[in-house]
Amino acid sequence: MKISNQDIVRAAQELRDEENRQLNVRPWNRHRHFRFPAWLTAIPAAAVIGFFFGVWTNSQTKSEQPLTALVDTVYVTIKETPTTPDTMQSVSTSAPTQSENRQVRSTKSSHPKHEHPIGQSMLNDKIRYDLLVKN
Amino acid sequence: MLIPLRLSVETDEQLMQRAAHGSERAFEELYNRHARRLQGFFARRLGKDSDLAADFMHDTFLRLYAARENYHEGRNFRAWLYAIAYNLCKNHFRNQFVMVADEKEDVVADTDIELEMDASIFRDALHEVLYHLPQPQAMLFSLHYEEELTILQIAQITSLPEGTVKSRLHKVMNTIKQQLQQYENK
Repeated sequence: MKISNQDIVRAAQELRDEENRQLNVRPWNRHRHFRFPAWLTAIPAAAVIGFFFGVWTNSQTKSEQPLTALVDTVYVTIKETPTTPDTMQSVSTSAPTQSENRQVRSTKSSHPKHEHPIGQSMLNDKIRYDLLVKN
Repeated sequence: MLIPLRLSVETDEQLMQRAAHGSERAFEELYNRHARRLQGFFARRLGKDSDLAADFMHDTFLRLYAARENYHEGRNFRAWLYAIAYNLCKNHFRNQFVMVADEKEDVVADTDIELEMDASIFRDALHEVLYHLPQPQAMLFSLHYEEELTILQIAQITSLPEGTVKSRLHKVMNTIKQQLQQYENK
C-alpha cells in the first residue's frame, strides 16, 4: 500500500484520539488553585485556638496563685474604748464668752497607745491566730 | 426574565474575554474543552509520563488563569494556550539537558520520499516512529498535525519565521517516512 502524507497525518490523529481518551483528567475545581474561602476557615479556627488558649491559661494561673490566696483570712475588728475623751465639752447654756469657749486640747498622753503587731511577741500582738483557717 | 447563559455555544475567545472579566464559569468551560487534549499533548511530548503530563497541564492552566486579565480581544486562545505549553516543555527539556540543539538542516534530503508499506503494520510503525522522533521535530509535528495549529501560530509560538516552520515540517514528514521504511525493512 502506498502511504501518503495525509495517511500519516490521519493515523497520527487517530493515535492521538485513542491516547487522549485513555487519560484521566482531573476537574478544574479539584486543582490546587481552588481554595475554600479563607474567612470560612479562619473564624472557626480562631475560635478553637482561643478556646484551648483559654483553658491553658486558666490551668497556668491556678498554679501561680499567691500563697495568701490559699488561706482564708478573717479580719476581726477589736473595739477599743477610749479611756479619756479627746475634748472637753461645755454644758453651759449661756452664750459662751471668748474665755469660756476655749477648749482644752487633749494631750498626747491622753491617746491610747496603738501598738503595731509587727515585732511583738505572739502573746501581745492581738492577732486571733485561732481564726486563721487554712484552705 | 433571566435567561441562563449557555457558555457551551461561545467561542474560546469569547469565553476567555469573560474569564478576563472575572467569570469563573467561563474559565472552567475553557478548561473542560481543552484540558484532555492538552494533557495528551504533554503525555506524548514528555514520554508517556501521565502524572507529569497532568501536572504540566495543570500548571499551564494555572498560568493562564493568573494571566487572564492580560488577555486582549482578537488574540487566538489556542495559540496562547500552546505557547505556554511549549515554553513549559522547552524549560523542562532544558533542565533535563535533553533538548534542544537546533536540528541539523541536512539530516534528510529535502525531497519527497515515496513510501510503500503493509497497511496492517502501518499504525504500529507510526506509533513507534513518532515516539522516537527527536524532540524539536516531534514538537513541530505535534503542534501542526496533532494539535492542528496553523503555520503562522506555530511561528509565533516558537519564534521562528513561517518559512522555516514550513521547511522543517516538510523535513519532519520525510524523516517519518524514512524511518517507517526502515521499520518495514526490519
